[in-house]
Amino acid sequence: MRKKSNASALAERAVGALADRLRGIRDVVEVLDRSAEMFAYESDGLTLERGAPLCVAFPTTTEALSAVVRACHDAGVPFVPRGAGTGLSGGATPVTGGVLIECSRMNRILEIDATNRTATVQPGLVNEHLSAAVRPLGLYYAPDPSSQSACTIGGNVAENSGGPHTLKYGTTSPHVLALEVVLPNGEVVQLGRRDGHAHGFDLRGVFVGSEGTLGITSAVTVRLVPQAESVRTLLASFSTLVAACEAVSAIIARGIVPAALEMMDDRTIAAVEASVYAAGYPADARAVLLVEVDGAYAAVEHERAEIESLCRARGALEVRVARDDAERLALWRGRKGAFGAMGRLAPDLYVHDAVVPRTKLPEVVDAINRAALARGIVIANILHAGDGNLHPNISFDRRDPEQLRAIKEVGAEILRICVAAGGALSGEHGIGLEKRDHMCLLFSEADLEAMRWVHDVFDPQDRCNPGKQIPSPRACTESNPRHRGYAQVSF
Amino acid sequence: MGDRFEAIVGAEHVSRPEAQTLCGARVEAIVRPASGAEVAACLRAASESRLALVPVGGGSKLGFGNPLDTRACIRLELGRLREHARLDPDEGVAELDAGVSLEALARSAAALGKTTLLDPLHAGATVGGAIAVDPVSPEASLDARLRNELLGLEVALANGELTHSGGRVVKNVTGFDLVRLYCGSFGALGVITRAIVRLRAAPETVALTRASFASRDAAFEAFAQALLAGPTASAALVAAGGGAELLFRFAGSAAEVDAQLARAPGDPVPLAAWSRLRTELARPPTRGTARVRLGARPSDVAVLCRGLAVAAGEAAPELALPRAGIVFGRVETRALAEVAAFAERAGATFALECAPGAEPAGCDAFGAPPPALALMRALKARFDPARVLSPGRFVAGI
Repeated sequence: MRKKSNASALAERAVGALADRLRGIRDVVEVLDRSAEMFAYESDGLTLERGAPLCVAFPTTTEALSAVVRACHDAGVPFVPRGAGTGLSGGATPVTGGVLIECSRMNRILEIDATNRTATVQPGLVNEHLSAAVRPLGLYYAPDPSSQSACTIGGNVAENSGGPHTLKYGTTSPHVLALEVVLPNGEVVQLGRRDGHAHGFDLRGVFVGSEGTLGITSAVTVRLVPQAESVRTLLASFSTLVAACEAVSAIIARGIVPAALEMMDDRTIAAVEASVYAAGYPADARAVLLVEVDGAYAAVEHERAEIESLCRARGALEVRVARDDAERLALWRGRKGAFGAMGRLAPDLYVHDAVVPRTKLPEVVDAINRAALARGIVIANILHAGDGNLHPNISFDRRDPEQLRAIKEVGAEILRICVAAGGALSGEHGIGLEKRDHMCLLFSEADLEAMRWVHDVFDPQDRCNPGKQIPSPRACTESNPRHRGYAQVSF
Repeated sequence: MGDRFEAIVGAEHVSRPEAQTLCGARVEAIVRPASGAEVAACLRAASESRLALVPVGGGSKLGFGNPLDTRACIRLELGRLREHARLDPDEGVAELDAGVSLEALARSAAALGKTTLLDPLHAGATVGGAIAVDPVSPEASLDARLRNELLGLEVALANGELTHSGGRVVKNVTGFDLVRLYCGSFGALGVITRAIVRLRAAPETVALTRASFASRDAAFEAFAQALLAGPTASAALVAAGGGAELLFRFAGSAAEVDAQLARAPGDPVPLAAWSRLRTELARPPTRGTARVRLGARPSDVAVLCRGLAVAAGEAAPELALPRAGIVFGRVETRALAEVAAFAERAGATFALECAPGAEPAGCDAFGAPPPALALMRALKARFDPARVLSPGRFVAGI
């Protein structure tokens, strides 16, 4: 007992010394090391998992970030990068302790190049702030996660975040031209080029979506997109989810690529309409589609008319076109506020994320709802229907261990259903802690080993956000006996 | 060694040419596997024997890259991997064996009203070869890149494992994005055996405008204005005597294209002008000359054209893709080192795309080494510890 307390005291002194070293770094504006101060940093948006950091450091420059990482490296301490903490897969949760490096104070726009339509920003810049800054130039930043008013560009890079407008414009990766990255030993390197013409292996491509396990982004050069001349948003309601899915398929089959093609089920509609985000969604519908088209005025009007007609032909109860920007924004406020609206239903919300081939959505949603009901759980679904990305939302109370057990079971079952339908584990939230040990549902040991090779090249000592994304070989075998024989799923 | 390959693919699919070279190395044997599993077995055999191996699709880009740093190699031809070509227009995906020809793919897709970014610009080019090289198409822009349209890859690794990354869905962030890592890696990390790519709706309408200018500078000024106005068009600037022609190619719905045409510089012209440009770009340079590609920001294209003309002669800039920030030039091989040096000074990238003949280029085929070269070398060492996958051919002799 005495020995343990000596060790504990020694560890405390070591942590104190590390915190002091971090406080001495120029442009580290704050270091937190008292547990009450650090409570908010024990998890990201996935509150199912928590972990206490040793301390939290707030650098504001690349040099300071590099010095913090180097201090961790010298001390042999792991570190976890964090943006705004809005992630939903536990990617920024310090489960192995270590130093939490909070990048939200690195929030400056470093350069805007309107001619070439690029911007270079620090990683802590809030996503929406970039679009606001370039709006007077007729430009905007296309990736728009639902949390865009809070989430950061660096966090988006780590998670390869998507959003409703991914259907037409893609997730974060295609919008990232170059990265300045602090490697786990503190070295600063450039990946990609601002002009998009980098030669060599696409390290930029593999870094985006690596969930902070390969290093920390210290600057990002992104593409900007010209604002569309015209934008139209339609709301179509249906008496069944299947009819709504058929309308989605008809729109895509017509060759129209809407900017967004979103779906909400009746439970989501009810939650939104009972909340401050109420958008006038029809209460009698079993599913609503929110469809947005953008482009040249004439083309948009043509596509709007076609979509309206296709929805009516698939039995839409109502098709409503937003008459002005205020109506359009109200429709979107309801959709983007849907996750917040569910806060009315229970103290906690588990926002699941998986993806399936688009035509499989009706049967997959049905199977998920049945699997949840069998465990006494009710699910509210939000779907990026145009690209098969589904978000089954589970409201729960984490103080109830029985509920916790049940929702983890349902979460795993959702993944099995999606993989069996030819899908994948995540469309936009990433793997993090939440799905790490389910990676073997999709990948063989050889597939995962190739990912580990990449990881080991960047982070040979496994100090950078350890325990995330890639499972250990043993974890896979234990969690999924089928993995020993690898039933090939995705090809 | 040949016996071992014969045991994998069958004796009838192994030949031993008398005097053939490939990327500067003597070809010991030509091996033609028929499946991903056979490719993987060939790679394992090559690794165990430390015998260099160069994967070949249609062979249309064999002139691109540095010479191998070995004297002998195996030519691994992937043309027999063409059985599997499943196009799913409802899901918007195509699952394709690496040896499927891009021309066949384009025809199959067109029959379904679809298209892909796998551009059949070069005769005989294949799916696997195009993904490995990631060539620039005349329709290229910063937002229209092949790597953004790849959904999944099956890749044989040097250790003999057949691996998968990505998947069949159009939106996927499951695990490291190895698909992008393999795309454009010249087969230096593994051999692509199957791919899943996005099928897009074929444009309803394609239209072209052309504007002629007495000088290239005037053309660039017109382009700069059009760039700021934001047309969603491919753009090409073609040298014409002392002046230049600026072509804008619009593709999309009829309403979209009509709206763009109303504001486009120049006058509508038949699409044949664009086809001629494609034909010219696909034509290999004559002996003693080489095709180079310089890349920079769109606003730097004028600087690149002028610099290329100074470094390699007035006729050198043959085609610029201003929206993509790319300039193609046909230059004498003796001027290559000077052009590469100019690119480095200008902060541009340099690529020696094609140089018929065996003359040494006097410069790396990919120009100045990239800043993260140490990481790239470490990746190569991890994926290919015996250095059997096209050793020396890629960037900085990777």
